Formats: sequence, structure tokens, C-alpha cells
Amino acid sequence: MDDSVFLRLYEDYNRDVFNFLIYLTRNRDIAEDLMHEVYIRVLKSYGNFEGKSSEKTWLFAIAKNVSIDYFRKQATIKKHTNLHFDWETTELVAVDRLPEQLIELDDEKKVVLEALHSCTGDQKMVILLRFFQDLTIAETADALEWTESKVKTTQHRAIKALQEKVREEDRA
Amino acid sequence: MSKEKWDEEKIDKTLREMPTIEDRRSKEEVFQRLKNDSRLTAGQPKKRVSKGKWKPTIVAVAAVLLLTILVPTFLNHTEQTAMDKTTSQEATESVKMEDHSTIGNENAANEESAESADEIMFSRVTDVHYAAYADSTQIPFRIGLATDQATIIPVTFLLPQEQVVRDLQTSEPDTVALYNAYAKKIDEETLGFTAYHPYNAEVSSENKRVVMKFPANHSYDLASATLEMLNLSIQATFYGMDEVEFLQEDGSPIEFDQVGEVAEPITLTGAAKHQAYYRFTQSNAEQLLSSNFGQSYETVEEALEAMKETPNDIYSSVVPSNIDFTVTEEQGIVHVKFTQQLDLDRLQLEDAMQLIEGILLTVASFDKQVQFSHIVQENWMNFDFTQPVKKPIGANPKYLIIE
Repeated sequence: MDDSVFLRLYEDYNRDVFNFLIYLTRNRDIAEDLMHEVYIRVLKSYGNFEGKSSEKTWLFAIAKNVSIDYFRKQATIKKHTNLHFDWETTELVAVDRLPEQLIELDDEKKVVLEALHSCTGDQKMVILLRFFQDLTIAETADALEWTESKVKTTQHRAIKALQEKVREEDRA
Repeated sequence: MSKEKWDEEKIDKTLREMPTIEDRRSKEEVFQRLKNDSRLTAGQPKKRVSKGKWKPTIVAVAAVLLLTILVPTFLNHTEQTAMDKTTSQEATESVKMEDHSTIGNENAANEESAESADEIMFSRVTDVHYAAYADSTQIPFRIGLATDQATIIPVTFLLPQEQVVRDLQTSEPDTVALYNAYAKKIDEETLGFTAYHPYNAEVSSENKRVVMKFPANHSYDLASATLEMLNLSIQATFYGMDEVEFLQEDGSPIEFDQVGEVAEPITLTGAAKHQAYYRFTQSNAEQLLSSNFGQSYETVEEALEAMKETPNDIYSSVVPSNIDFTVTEEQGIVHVKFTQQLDLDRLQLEDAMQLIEGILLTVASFDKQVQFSHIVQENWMNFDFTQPVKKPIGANPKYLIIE
């Protein structure tokens, strides 16, 4: 393992990728496990990184794949009846306990966050990358291995879905 | 909060204002954990850790499915597959366990405990394998297990050698001895399969011949599909034996409803089944690799080509539609060259592993080894793609928990 590669990756991306993983899993321990897994995959194939995409989107693409592997495994363990685990249409549910920072959020943020967690996997990923990580449409498309138009459509649907969910919450 | 308040702008703004949740671990802590992970230490083997037991699945009654699924008849199939007799002994002997140990790594033992803790933690995320490899401390017990879709899936239980020696007083038991000792101990339903074993028959062996004596009340000839399942399961179970003879309890020839008297012993194909491997998905969503109802191919090129297409609703291709490869064979090594550089880390781990191990199992069923080319990673999940990859000894490894 090349120490200098790790140190640089850590400085440049640990904060963002960890933030992505903890919002996705809502569990600090799991986010730490998945972060470790991301490093393993990145460091193992770093020498072969071709630079077709930016390093940042490459890392997020790996973080996405690591998370989906985790959620799929969880779905298998929980014996979901669907034959194929389709992360784009499935809620990526991993609610154990909320990280403490999220408990302290104001009500509006809490409502939006709860709504986000009942969105489908594709919507959740797009929101996390576009709004939490400030990735551009092109970067998000690269990280999710989608076309840019799919990113735009999914983002649009996600915002609509969030809007409906928070309004429902208000009515309740 | 009023209804109007939640316009798109407000949602947008709220999302962007979410706080960043920090990783509380220090850089050193994160780094240390990586240094303790054997996957980053070149050449060191990754110990497989037993997966948690699958919770019992709902076992559907397969009878209707059995009658409706189109399968070749029992006899036709037997003729089709009775082509190659390579014993598993030969296969096992030809597969030498790769020695991964790093010379001069004196700290290996000290690192062991830290590694194993980390690996157990990660086994749920990373321990994804669809093929088993030779290991001098384990004895493979292969068996065909039944699913609720009336299919037979080959499974390889890796039994600790010392356990087998304790139970059977030999480190080289034949497959019938393994079957009689362990088939009854498999909790098939917990593993996501339907209860099928042990056979309702007395199973014994005479040299390389398996003898199965069925009581009058057996129901294997209820339909052509149940007979086909019996055939597929014995083919996947009795490795290393040449043939199997079906008899009545008293030793006289048996008559099956669907096919009449079974006069000739059935040839067992052993390790060289000449099959293509596909993805099978259990009702509990677990994915496994299997041949397409035992279909066999003349050449390894044909089998690998067949893998690219999904054959039916039960089995699907492990080769993603945007990935293609060419196949050539030189001096017994099958060269699989991807037409475009394949970055395995861009695939989801399970899909990538199914692709690689599906190819390995297909080629191993021709008793050959694979050399991959055009893969971005030279080393990946303990595979060394710079040279021919170790040949698997069985499909779908599982650990049999024996009390």
C-alpha cells in the first residue's frame, strides 16, 4: 500500500465521502465500515485508475457501489421477497439510530431528511450527490454511471417526491 | 409550516444547508485499520469467514412447477451428459493450492488477530464468492441441492479436514461416505433451499459405482421433472464416481413410472461436465451460479459464448450486456480477452464476482484454466490476473456447521 496515496486521498475526499455514506446509511459504525471498504477498493486499483473520469467522481462511484453491495446484502439477509435487488426502485433503508448531529437539527431539516429517507435509492443518491456534495450534473452522471438526462429527470422527480412528502407530513 | 412554504426553492435550500457529519476517527486510526487489512497486503490469503445462516425461506410447493417446467426427459439427458468421465480425484490432484504466504513476513502471526477481527466485520460486505478453491485444510463435499423452482443447484460445503478425519477415520473419503455422513446434517431450508436430502434410498458404493436402493414408497418417478431432478442432483453430488445404479430394495432392477426399467447404470460426469454457468436467484434474493438444467457443450468456446445469453426465465447471464469477450485456446489455457478494458470496480461487487467466477467455473468444467486479459485490475479480490487463474473445485461454497 502506498502511504502517500492514502494520505492524499484522505485529505481530499474523506470528509465528503464519509458524509455521503453516513447520510445514506444513517449509522456511524456502518459508514465507517463502508468508508474502509471504499479505501480498500480504491487503493487496490489506484495504479490502474485511467483518469477517464475525475478522481472525485471515481471515488463516489466506488462509494455508491460499496453501499449498494451493503444494502443488497442486508436485503438478502432480511429475506426480502423481491427476486432481484433493484437499488434504483428500492428504498435504501438502514435506520438503526440517527447520528447525533441529526437529532439536533431544526424541525424543517428533520422533516426533509425523513422525507429523503423514504425516497427510492436513485432519488436519494442523486439528492446526496447534487445537494449535499455539490456535484455538477455531469459529475453526478459520471459517479452514478448514468446519462446526464437521467440525472436531471431523477433529480426533478426526487424534488417533487420530497415536496409531496413534506407537505403530507405538514398535513399530518 | 404552511403548504405554500414548501416550494422547490425551499426544499433546495434546506437540502443544501444540511450539516456535514464528520468522521470522528483520526487519520491515523483510519490508516491503521487499512494496514491491518490483509487485502492490501499483496499475496496474503484472505481467510473466508463463515457467513451467517440464512433465515429460513418460505418453501413453496414445487409440484406444479415440476410439471410445468420444460426439461429434457430423464433418458435423453442421461445420454447427453454421458460423455466425459473425469474423476474429481484427478481434478483435485491437478489443483494445487496456491501458496500466498509472503516470504519474510515475520509479523504475519502478530497481525493475524487484528486482521481476523476486521475481516469478520467485513465478511458481510465483502465475502462474496460463487466458486470454491482447493485448500489443504478443507475437504470439499459437493452436493446438488433443490430449490423451490424445481431446479438443482450445485453447492460445495467446505468441511474442516480434522472434522472429517474424526468422523470417518480417513482424510480421503469417497463421495458416498461423505454423503452418508453429512447429507442428513444439512439444514437445507435454513440455507434457502427446499428439503430434498438425504435421498429416500440406501446409498452405498462398490469401487467407483454408486448403488442406490429405493424403497417401494419412493416418489422420484412421480413426474418426468422429479426424475430429472434426481438425475441432476446425483450428477452434482457423486463426484469421483463413474456411474450410479438404481435398484429396488431387494437388489432387483427398478422400474420407474416415467421410463420403465432402468437396466443400465447411469454414467456420472464428475468434474468435466462441459457446462456453461449462469446466475440463479433464490426466492430469498440470494444469487448462486448454476448450469442451465445440466446442458452441456461440445467445446469450451461454445460454452463461453452461450454464457453471454440468458437462456430462460430461471437462469440469467452473468455477462453484462455492455461487456463482451473473445475466446482462444493455447496449450490447454483458455484465453478470455475482454473487448474493452474491464474495470471490475466499476461493477457492483457481486456482479463482478459472478462474471469472473462464472467464467472460471465454465472453463473448469472442461478441466481447463483461464488466462484473462484486458482487465484494469492486475490483482483483485485475491485473483492474480497476470497469470492463469487458479481453477475452482466446486460451485457456491458454503460452510456446513457441524455440532
